[in-house]
Amino acid sequence: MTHPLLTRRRFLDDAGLGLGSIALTWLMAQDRLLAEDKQAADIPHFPPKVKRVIHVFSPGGVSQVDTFDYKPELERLDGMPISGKGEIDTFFGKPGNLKKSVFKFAQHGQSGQWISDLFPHLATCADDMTFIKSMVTKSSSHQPAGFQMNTGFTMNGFPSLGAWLSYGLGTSNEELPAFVVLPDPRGLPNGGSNNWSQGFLPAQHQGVAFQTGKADAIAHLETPQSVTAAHRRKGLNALLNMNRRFAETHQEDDSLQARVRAYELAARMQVSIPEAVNFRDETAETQNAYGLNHPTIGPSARNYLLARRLVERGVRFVQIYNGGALGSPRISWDAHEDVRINHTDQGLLLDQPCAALLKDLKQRGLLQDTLVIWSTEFGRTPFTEVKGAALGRDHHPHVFTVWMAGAGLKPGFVYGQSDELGYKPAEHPVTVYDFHATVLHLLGIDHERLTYYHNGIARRLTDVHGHVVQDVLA
Amino acid sequence: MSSIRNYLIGLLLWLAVAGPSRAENEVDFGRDVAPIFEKRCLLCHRSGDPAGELSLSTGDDLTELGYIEPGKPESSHLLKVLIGSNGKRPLMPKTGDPLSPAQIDVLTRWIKSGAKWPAEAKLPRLWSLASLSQPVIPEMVGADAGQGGGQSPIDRFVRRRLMTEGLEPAPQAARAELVRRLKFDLLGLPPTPDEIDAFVTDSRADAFSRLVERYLASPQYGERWGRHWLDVVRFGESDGFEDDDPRNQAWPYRDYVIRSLNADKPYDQFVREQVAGDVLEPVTTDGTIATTMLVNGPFDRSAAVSASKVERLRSREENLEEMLTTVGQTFLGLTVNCARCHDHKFDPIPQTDYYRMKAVFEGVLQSLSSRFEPSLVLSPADVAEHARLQAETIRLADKLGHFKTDQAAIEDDLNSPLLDRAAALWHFNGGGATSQTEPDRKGARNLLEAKWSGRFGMPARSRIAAANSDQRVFDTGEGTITNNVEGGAGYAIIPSLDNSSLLQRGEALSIFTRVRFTGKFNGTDDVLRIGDVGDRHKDTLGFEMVATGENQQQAVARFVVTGKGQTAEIGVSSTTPLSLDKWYDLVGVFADSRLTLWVSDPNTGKVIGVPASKEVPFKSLEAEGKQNLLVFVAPGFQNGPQPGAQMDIAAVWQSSLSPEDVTSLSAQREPDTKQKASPELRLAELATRIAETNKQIAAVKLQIEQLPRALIGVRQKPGPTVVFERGDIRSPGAAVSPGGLSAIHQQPAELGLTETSDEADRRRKFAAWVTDPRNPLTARVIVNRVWQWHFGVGIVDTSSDFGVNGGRPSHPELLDWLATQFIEDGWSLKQLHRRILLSATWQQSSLSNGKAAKIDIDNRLLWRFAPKRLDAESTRDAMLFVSGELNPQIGGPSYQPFTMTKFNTTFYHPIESGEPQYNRRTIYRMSINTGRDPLLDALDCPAPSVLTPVRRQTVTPLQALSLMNDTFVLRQAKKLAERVAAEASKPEQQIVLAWQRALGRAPTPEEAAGAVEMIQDSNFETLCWVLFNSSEFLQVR
Repeated sequence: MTHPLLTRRRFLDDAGLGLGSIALTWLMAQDRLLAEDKQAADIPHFPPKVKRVIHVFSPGGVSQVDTFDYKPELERLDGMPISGKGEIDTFFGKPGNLKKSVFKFAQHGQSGQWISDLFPHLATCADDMTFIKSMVTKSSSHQPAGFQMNTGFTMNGFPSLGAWLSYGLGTSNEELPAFVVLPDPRGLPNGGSNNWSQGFLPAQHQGVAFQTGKADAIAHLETPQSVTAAHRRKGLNALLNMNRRFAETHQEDDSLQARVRAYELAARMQVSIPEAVNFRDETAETQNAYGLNHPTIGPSARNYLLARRLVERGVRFVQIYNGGALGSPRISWDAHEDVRINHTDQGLLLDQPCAALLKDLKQRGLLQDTLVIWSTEFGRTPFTEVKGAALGRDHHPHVFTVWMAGAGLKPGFVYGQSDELGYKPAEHPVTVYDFHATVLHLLGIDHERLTYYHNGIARRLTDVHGHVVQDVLA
Repeated sequence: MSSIRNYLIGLLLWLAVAGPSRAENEVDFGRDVAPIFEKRCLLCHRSGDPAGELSLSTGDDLTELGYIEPGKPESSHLLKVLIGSNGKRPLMPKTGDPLSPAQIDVLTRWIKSGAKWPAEAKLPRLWSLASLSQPVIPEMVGADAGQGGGQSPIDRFVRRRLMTEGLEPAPQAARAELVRRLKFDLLGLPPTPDEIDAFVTDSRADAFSRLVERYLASPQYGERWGRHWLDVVRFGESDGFEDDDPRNQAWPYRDYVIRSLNADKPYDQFVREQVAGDVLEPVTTDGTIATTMLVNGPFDRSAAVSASKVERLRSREENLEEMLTTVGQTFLGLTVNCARCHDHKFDPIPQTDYYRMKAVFEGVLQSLSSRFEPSLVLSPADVAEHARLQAETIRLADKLGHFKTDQAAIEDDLNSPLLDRAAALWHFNGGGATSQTEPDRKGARNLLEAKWSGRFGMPARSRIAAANSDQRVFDTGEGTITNNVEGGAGYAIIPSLDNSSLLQRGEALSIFTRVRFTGKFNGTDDVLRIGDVGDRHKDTLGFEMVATGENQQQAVARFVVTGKGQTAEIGVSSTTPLSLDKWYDLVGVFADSRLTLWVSDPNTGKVIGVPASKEVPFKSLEAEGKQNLLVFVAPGFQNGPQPGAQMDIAAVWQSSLSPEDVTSLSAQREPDTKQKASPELRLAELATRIAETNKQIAAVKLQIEQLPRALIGVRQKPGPTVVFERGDIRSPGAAVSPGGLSAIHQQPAELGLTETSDEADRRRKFAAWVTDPRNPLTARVIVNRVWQWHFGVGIVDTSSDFGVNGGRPSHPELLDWLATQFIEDGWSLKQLHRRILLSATWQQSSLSNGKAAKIDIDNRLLWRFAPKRLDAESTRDAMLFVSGELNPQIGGPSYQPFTMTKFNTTFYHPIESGEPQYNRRTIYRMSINTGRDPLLDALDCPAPSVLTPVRRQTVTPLQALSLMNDTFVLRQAKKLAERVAAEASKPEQQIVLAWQRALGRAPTPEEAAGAVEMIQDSNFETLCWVLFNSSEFLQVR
């Protein structure tokens, strides 16, 4: 019957800490401690290499063979039918002939990474990037695969990586949300907020989507204009007094004290969030490096600079969307019609700001305990989507590429190889579970021990799978 | 060894501090030891393939492999691996935390007392699978035991447990508190000041019971308790996944739940309907709607229709797992879904059971297409009405079809490129040019009427000259001519316009008409001519009929012309005779000094026979002077029988028509047979009729739409169900037949079904199996849920998981007593409410007491009533109720406080409005996966598609921000201020009213004084905002 909360509560009582501390503890940890399985409370399970994560997600399916996975064999076999790979089972079911990269590849940096000329800026960061080129995923459909990359599961209703980190690690700045989402300024991704859902975790772990470019960065942040500052001040004082008195008369109920504290924090958020989203103190040099003044790149670039400012201030997990919903006109990487046109457009919005972010983090020393990960939900077929003179590629879950950068990793390193056509892994297939396990490991979390009891199952981000990819670790 | 000894000393010290948590010191294997093995060890160490060869399914290995030396804990290897030494992590368990000191203590004492493992105890076993016991109700205990009353059976079970810990129940809550607690509990709304007053002053002994009855009878009861159920079954109103399309017809299920609860539908029936209501005899609308429960999970449209078969199969299996998860957890409290890839790691559910249960639902799908559409759900009365409406729809559609064909035909004619090219065109519209005879008159009398409209490529309109006194004259291309000739020839003359030549002299000319003869042929009769009225044979182009045979039933058609410089016409005859009462297209072409005549059948579009052709000795026609069109639709101006005829169309071209042109003319349309106005007039008339018919169709459609409809998916004949090895769709294994769970030994899991059993039969039998009173889970699970919704925590605190991993009942006998009574009460939920609400346990005060809090801060032993934060819906509804803005409309389509845009995904954009349709109870808000309300979210309203057996009650800064700044909250504050201002004039009175409405009590003098000061410094609205944000408002005590 000994509840974890009870132990903590007694400890605080014994330590003679005041009610304020109890409230804060309760507020910060209510869900973690209330979880039947309190393993989360013991995090970190071992010393972490990184404290926070920026996830740049490029929805739609980025073609591995046109970006980071150089396949000379495709040049030789360009226009030939694929053979020797067994039954070809594609999403749209009409595989065409093999197609070489639409971009030119060259080696970059000391480490000699092959990167296509779609990414001239990122290529200059080659020595800081760690590639996994043998990723596999379960579904060839966008949303199940997107869900898997975000939540580990192909179904609706599971917590996303950011929600797990919010739950497991909490925030290091209680005046900012622990999990922030920065959607592509062109529009929300496919499935909208499903992608940053808290699933069955408590509501406060849901990703908070910042409305970039709007005065009210998050819902309810601004006091509505109909309320004068003087009235709000009066009201808030009266409210805090009333709630304090109520808490004092019901001392056994920690949540009452926590509510007083929550309103104090809420009032402070109304100052700290606008401060975080304001770029006034950023130099022109920084802003230009990100491409903030570039007419096309500018709106997207804001997200990358904002991500840096947020992690700087203690936000645990920032997810940047490099793409919106599927459909036409294309604002995602879903290059069914023409890979060159599509990837050129999407790549432009990723390349400069993301490279600037890596360099900025590095220059400020933040890359020493920040992890940047880039992923998509699946790759694209090394052959065209339809027969004939087709220019697009179909969805491809059998192999694709992701990269990471930051502390705890072997920089300028490649793990895993796809076969000569970029069709399947030639070695070391890495599942999304493995990828997540590795990310958690870098944060000092044993992926098997970050659990939350939900309807009979101690749920994990990695379900019942996942192995840390030890070889990428420094 | 010494590390164990040290540890045990430490343990003793710990126990001295913490005190024994149980009064009973005797270790009981079943109660104390087995749960530790089950929860922490059996995942790996179980029969089958035990890790390290140690199985804890029975006690044999422990002693045989030397893990335990009975009686000697300090030399037992088991404890060594479970206790770490020198601060190191113990060897076991490999994952999760080490065992707690209390658990080690249990095992130590168990070994010390001989490590007895009852022979029949095979692990894992599951408490919840034991048959329902019939517990004896404990004797009354405590100070008030002798006074009778006040101690319901529930109270006695609870008190006995409290007594073992040396605890007392709390006194009864204050009456004002009770009424607030009760109304929020049963109706999800706060009491009005009058309601509080009435109850507080009601001195009757059964005052509380009366109040309970009143609230149970309120329709708002279903709105409150329906929400609980909707949480459990993950009710949502959008597809989820990438499209997240709205589900406009999911709400009938929500209404079904509300209706069922209000009617106190027996719970077993409620369950059966949700599993198989669409196939249970007699099939009812309600029962059919109920099955929405099965299919209302997320719908993965893209994967379901992908060309990739792997993708389709993957998606389908995920969908079935979701369905089985929902069914298993909701009704049975079991995580059957955990056995999809392997035998359940904790519970006694073999993998085959998962697939047997899957076979039950194998024929239930959301959709066979890329859209998840609602279906009709009809009662017998509805069926007849539906059939009538369907027939009406078909009739109207048919009617509309005809109108449209007509319209198209006219438009075709008007727009036909070939006819457009015509130099002159006349529409008689079938009956427009007709003749008939009136045989009664002496000498017979020809009535000939030609109504026409025409378009002429010839010079513009001019006056039409009168040909004889019977002709009415028009100056446009439309007109009516009636010839009324006694006993003689009848022809209508449609004059050329502008008195000029209808024909120009040309080397190529074509003429076309569509005609039918209805009487007898008689010698040689004109049909149609262009020529001079004075001498129609002089300068002519036209057709005539030459009777053949004796009965004058047939004739050949002749195409005749007068060549330039010729004095007589010359013709060519059709190769095949024509019959009466049939429509014919006659096309004559003069070109290259050749006459050609085609006769074709407009019904088939085919040329009859071969075209007749003849060379002529001239290159062009005479075509001089004025010509008119002469319509001879009354052949037989000779004496004799007077036949009738009808003409549909006539056209002339200044060019030669090709054989293809001829075919296309006949393919134009079928001839009309009625007299009609001009095409333009007819089009206008048709447009009116089409609009009218469309209106009628819309009305019928609306009636059909208003028939009950629900999102129940589709059923299909189930294919074979096979076990997928490791859950992998690429590794099909043995086939299985549909069945229940084998672990429920009280009833056969075999349902008498085979691999090919009927889809309906599978679910019918499974529904009966779930609700069989012998099933130990169904009743236990629901009474526990109801308990949880009354108290905040269930007797089992994991209300959708009665498995090994879930909680254990805090009051097992009480749970069984409630479950048994529940079945005896005919599965009546309202009776269960009464039992609980009328207990002293539920009516206890929420005041804490230090001693009890130290022992049991979670109040699992129920030494007080635990305060609750209002859930999201109650918070919003209470604000609306208090401000006077609540729109009480029950049921029907959900209100949609958002706009939608579609870019592949449907995106939802919240709208802010105080309009009444948005002020309905929150259960009626359309529940969209990605269209959630930030205020409700912040108050822990669960995401649709997540099975939510219990709501959380968090308090967070984002929640505070929402309550502070949400426009809805501010609006309700303003409305409350307006309301009390209307109810009382003095601020002091208004303050009292605001307090009473919001908090159910009057303000203290100190609060009242503060409030007066506040409204002077700011305004009354701000005061109301404070009340809505206050902990007291947000809590039920």
